[in-house]
Amino acid sequence: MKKLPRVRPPSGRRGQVLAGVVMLAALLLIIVPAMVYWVQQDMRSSVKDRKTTAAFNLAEAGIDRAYWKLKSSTSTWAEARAGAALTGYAFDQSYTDVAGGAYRISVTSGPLPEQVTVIAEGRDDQKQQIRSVQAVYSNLAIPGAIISGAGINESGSSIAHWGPMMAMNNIALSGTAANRYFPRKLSKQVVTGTGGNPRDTNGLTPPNTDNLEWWSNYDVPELPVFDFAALRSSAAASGTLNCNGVAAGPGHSSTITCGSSCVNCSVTNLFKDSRYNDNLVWYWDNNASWSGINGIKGTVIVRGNLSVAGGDSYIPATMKVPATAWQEYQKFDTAASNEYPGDVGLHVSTNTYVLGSCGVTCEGSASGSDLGLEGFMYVGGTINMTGDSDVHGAIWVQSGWSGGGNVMVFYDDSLVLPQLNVTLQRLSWQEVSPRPGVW
Amino acid sequence: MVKNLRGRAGYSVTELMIVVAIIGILASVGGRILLQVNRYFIMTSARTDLQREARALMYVINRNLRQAQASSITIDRSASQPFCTRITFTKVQGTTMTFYQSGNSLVQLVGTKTRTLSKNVKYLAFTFPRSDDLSIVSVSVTLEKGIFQGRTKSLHMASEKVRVMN
Repeated sequence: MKKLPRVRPPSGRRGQVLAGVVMLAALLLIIVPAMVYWVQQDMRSSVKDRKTTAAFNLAEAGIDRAYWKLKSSTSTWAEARAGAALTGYAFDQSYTDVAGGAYRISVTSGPLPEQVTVIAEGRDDQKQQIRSVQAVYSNLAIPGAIISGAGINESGSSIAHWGPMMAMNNIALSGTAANRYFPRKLSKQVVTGTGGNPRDTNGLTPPNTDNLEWWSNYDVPELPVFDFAALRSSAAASGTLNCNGVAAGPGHSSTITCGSSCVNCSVTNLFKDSRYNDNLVWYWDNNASWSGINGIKGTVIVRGNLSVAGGDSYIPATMKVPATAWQEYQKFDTAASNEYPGDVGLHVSTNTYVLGSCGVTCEGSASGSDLGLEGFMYVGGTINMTGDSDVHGAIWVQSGWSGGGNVMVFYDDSLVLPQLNVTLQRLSWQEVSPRPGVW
Repeated sequence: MVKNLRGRAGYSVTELMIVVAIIGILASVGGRILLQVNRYFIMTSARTDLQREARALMYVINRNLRQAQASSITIDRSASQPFCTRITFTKVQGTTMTFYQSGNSLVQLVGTKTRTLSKNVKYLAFTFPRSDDLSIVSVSVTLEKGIFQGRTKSLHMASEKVRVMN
């Protein structure tokens, strides 16, 4: 039988594979560019995010650097506050100590007196994204209305408004004081109340706060170190250092008797002294006791113990209300007004307040419209306040506060005192447009 | 003219069976694989979109909220929206700004101008994590996007704590 020759398939049939390849290629041509575009878009977005975040972090690093520069010495702060250009902090230097790019810093005085403005610009390492942050600082001398280096025993009707009470030891509230749920009470030890109005009932064991009004085991913030030498010199220059028998001025009836040893100075009717309104530093090296009619404007330094009795007669100008005053009343603050002096709604207060204008219920006591002191009082020993001698400013006592009187303290956060350290407070923070100019 | 077909090589039954088997396998598995690949692409794409969207809206909220005045912050809700889905504050520059949920949208309100930041919001919450410190705000958001067969892909941005600087 003759073997038939093998017939190969027509060459056209091989093209079926080619058709498949073409279709696959077409499919890939559609999918691959789409995928590439998609990945590119995502990458672009991610890279931009990374760069802008790096620039922002660098700007924040600049703010941090300026903060520590300002804190480095009181003279640096004084220079910056006075408007002097600090080398390296006038956009005159580019810092590269932080990975990811560079930053530069400007420190200027203002916008208000006793304030310093810091602007820091950060730029990523490829110089494509720039972010700029501006912060304003002031040197906060006194962070609370009543500050005690020891404890605070509050039993009477004394009241502190607009600023916290701070103590390195216990804060013990009793009597009428325990019934008042303002201001904030910050203790490094324990805040105690009464059976009817308790605070911390389990000592240092958590919970140590109600998160509204009292805090035990609290990390009290950095406190200033006063320049007592400067304060004493100022008092000596104005004749108010240990002033014993100093003439009160014609027609005035105040008396200051310290005796020969000058240990216990008895001060009567200080408001009747001719210098009551001169904003002086009144400095006593030892103990002092005030009585009669109090009322001066200035700074009072008593390195020993101080007792204050009697009333007051100093009529202050309109008082500045701290912007953070509302924090002291979180226990009961609502949208209503006049729940505390200067209150105009939930978490909002007025800028200024006239003493006595919102009434007894609102202020918590009958303060009248006068003060025993407008300014700052430092007591190196203990202080005992009875009577009704109100204060606009702050009181700092090293060895403990006790008070059974009717004293009101209205905190003033703008007090300026000579310090040996710088305790900065940030007043504002915002992002601003980067400034033009070559780095 | 009749061609002589007997001279052409044919396929054996075994070859045909193998081909049929391969086609059968491809028909049963290939389609499913293609479908899965497609679904994977859609899901990955949705996840990436959600991540990008979440990053962008967190950036906008974070950047503005940091410049707010802490005392001006109020957290509430719009009518018929879940609790804590609206935050209103005044920036240190004086601008009042609101972020709020409206259905599935996250809307930014500046003055009278509104801008929709996302249309894929499933859950949004602004809270104060510490009641003693109202300068810290926690922002929590979950975005959700449809993918296939009525299913959705969700992305939850873990609560980001924003430090209000003023």
